[in-house]
Amino acid sequence: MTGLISAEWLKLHSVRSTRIVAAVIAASIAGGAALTWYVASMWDKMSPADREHLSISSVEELTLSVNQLCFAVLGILAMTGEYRTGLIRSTFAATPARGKVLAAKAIVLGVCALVVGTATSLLTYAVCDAIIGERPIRFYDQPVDLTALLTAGPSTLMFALIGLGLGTALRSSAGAIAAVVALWYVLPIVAMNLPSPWDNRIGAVLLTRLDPQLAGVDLAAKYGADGMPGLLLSPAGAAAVMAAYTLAALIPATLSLRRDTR
Amino acid sequence: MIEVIELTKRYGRTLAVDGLSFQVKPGLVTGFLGPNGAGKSTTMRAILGLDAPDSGRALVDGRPYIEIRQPMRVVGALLDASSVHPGRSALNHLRALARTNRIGTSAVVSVMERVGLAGVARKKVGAFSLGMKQRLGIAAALLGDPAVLMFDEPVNGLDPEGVRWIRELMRGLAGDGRTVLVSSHLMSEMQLTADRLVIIGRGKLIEDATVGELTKRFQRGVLVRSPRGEELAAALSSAGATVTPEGGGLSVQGLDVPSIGDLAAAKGIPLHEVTPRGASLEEAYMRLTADSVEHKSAGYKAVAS
Repeated sequence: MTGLISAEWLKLHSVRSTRIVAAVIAASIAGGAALTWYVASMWDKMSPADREHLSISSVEELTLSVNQLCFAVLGILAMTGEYRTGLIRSTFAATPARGKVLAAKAIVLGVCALVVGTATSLLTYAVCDAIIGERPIRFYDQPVDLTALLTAGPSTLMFALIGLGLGTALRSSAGAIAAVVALWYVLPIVAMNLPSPWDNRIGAVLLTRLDPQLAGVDLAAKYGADGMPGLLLSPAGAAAVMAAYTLAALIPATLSLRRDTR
Repeated sequence: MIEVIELTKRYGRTLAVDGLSFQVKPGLVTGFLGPNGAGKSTTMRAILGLDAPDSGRALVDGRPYIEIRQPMRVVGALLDASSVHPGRSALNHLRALARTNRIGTSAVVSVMERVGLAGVARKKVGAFSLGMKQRLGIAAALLGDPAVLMFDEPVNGLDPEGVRWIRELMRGLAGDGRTVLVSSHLMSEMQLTADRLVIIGRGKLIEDATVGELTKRFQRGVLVRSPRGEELAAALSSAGATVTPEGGGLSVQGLDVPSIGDLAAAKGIPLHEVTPRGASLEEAYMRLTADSVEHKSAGYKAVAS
């Protein structure tokens, strides 16, 4: 298994898509910092009355979203890239235990997603916090919620494995990416338009809403906005839903490995 | 040693391989011949456990491929030269494969030198010509120093120098006592490389014989003309040849041209024509597979592609 893991690690970092993803994630951190700097410089020029209305939503959520999509795509490409090029035949001829190949990919991607997701979140917070400095801008004047920052890791991990599972089961980049976008973007819009209380109930179990609930953040309380579901799942409940999503992608993927490799 | 036993594989309604049985023995190059669509690649994929057969078995050294741990050390296979990620360098492609079977980097370096790709090891495979990709695929097959090798259409896209290189490589591998199975749809190529031929058509075995046996079977003898035909026929028959009259001449089987000439000279019989007419294996192959060609061109019975 260690041989397989080191092979998958080599495969992951020896293709261009991985470098592009790394660049996109770095750009998202830089973009978040630039946005924060812009808000801070606006704040400096404002009258005290206007300053009351100025708020900045947490930039970590922005960089987390980028991480989620990037790792979902990396997870998809880890398998579809092999099917598209025919490399999969060499891979499965070298390792007839196909489940082990999937497991090795899941381990490599999972560790990367966990590390990069956590690091991005912490780094984004640290950079933005340094830029805001002592300015009491809303949301940045509160003490740091470290738990909320750390949920970025598991959330990114979940997206990476869902991508890997969808890519393996569908064997098509386009199909799997469409499925991820549907889960990540389309379903939340659909959920938002459902009649109450179903908008919140369905909304609470959507992929992108799980990480705050894992940290125990009450979104409705935080933003006070309509359409944002309140805290419906306990942290343990959120963790269970995240695990269920991951398994729901990986189990069909494992079963689909039995098919012929043409 | 490869054994294919009553192998049957369907894709939907297409019967790709139909109760196929044959053996591939060590120390020989076995040519796996058949027109396009005959089921050669399907059989090879089934041997490698990539496609599950509907019935029958394929065994390598007596066991199913999928039960072999670190199979690259037992079987090396070139299936499709384009089975590589174009964005990865040749070196990284081979290193990743090697790691899965715990094969060291020194083996990677030495196979790259052996196939002549050492100079482009760090180049992306996407920039490779088809011939270079074939060499990379062969390098992958040789990585684990396996005793059984399978090559699916290895000469496709190679220049004459590359074709000769492959031929010598396969002869050398068989000379080491390894089992070598190489598929092709061209008899002309196999005639030069193979010791044994397994010929299939529409998924069924048509012929399993040595190149020598096939040549002999399709030998059409020597055409001889002489003004003293009857006398010559008697002399040739008593020397052990089979003689049949043919269009004013004699068709002689069982004696070669020098023997016929010597015999006639010894008897003082003048010869007006001596034409050896060994049917080429190419013709033999065309005749054997004529019924199983998928896309036959009108008025052209050949299997060329």
